[in-house]
Amino acid sequence: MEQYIFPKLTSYDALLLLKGMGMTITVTLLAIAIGLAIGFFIGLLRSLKIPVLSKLLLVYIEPIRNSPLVAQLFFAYYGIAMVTDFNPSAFQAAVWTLGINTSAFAAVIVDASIRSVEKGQWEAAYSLGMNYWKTFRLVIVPQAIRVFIPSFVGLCVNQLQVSSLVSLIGFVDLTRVGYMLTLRTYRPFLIWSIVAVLYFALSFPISKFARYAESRVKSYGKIG
Amino acid sequence: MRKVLIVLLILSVIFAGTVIGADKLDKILQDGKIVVGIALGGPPIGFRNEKNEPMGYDVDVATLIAEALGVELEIVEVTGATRIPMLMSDKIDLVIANMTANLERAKSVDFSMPYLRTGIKILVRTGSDIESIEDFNGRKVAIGRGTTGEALVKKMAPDTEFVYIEEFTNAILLLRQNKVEAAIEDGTLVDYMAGQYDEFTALPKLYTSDPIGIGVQKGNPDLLRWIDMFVSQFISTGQQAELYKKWWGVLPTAELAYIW
Repeated sequence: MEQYIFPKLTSYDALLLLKGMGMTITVTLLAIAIGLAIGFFIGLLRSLKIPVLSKLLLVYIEPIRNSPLVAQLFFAYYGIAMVTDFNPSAFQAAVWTLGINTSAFAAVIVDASIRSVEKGQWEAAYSLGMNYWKTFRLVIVPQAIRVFIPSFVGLCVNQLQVSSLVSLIGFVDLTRVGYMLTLRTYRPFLIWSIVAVLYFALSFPISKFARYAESRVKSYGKIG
Repeated sequence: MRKVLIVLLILSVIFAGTVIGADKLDKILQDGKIVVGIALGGPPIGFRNEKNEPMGYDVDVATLIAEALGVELEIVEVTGATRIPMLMSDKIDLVIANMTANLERAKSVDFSMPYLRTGIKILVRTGSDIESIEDFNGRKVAIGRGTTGEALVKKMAPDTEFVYIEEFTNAILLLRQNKVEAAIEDGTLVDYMAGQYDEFTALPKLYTSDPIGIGVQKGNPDLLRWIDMFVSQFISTGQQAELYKKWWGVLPTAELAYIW
């Protein structure tokens, strides 16, 4: 195939790839922070099993979990500006959409983690005269976190991969850079190999950490 | 109380787009900046150089517009599929993205006078037996979705196997990899590629004569008027012919009309 003369990669391209990688990290980290904050709050509320509220929260969680992220991104980027005065930039749309998307999945993980602690734990703490908040902090969280951490880190890895979809609204992340360089150099095999390796370099350590964290929290042993 | 709030919310949504909507020209002059959507899908119209900076005929046109307005130019990359949504949702002030001005698109965007004219041509591998669009039947051809070329092939060779592409550059790759037998695009792009690489040949026939216009969001008559006047002078002063020669190496084949 090399008999054709096509442009070579330059140091400018390396710089651009690094910049794209930086943007992928930025968007993913911000989205995870937003997702954790909102998801924790909603998951906690869900775990309280308050009759009507509990169902209302599902109205937030389920549509987000059951619709494609691409549709959510297009809605945020193109849709909102058509009917309101607020016109999000590609960066804002990317961070908030991915963040809110993360929050729905995080809420389910938080809820499930809290519920995974046996009812008896609550009852025992109450009988010792502890209030809700104190029980939650001192008795429930240390046990729930064992369930929470592996699933949440798994979610983070997943969100890092799907963050590549923000390239579709023109945001210049690692995937978008790959696309730009392919157009210029006509070398898709080389470029997409590099992009995949860079994603792997970001993702693999987190996966590794997840396995490590899982083994650590498991070794705590059961309380009670 | 809640009802009042809901009514207020609905009203604010309705008025947001209309009352505040002053002409974009004012906004551009006030901000000192014009945001132009340009397709960087392939030379010579819009592409990136080895420093990954935007280059090409459309980039030069946008630069001249910003200079004439005395404002800063911000380039936002668009594709054939995103240029109109980007304009309608206020992400960009102008589309200068090799966009054919046709009546269908003119329902959703306003077009300036043509600043370039081109026609659909066919690109094949050198030595191919394809001689016209009619030969497409039963073969794979790379076509941009929603383009003038797509409509043409659907009419003239309905049994063509469409392979949809986002950018013309992808057609080059598909041709090289024998995944398609031909590609169909504006002559401006097809001729350039055939000139760059011996492995490709541009068939001589020009199928259409399409005006390429600058897209302006509807409801901005001042901006549209200004752009029209700019294009008119761009042509009458010989700037257009000069710019064409810079990128294609020859003088433009199609004459462009001007008013002022």
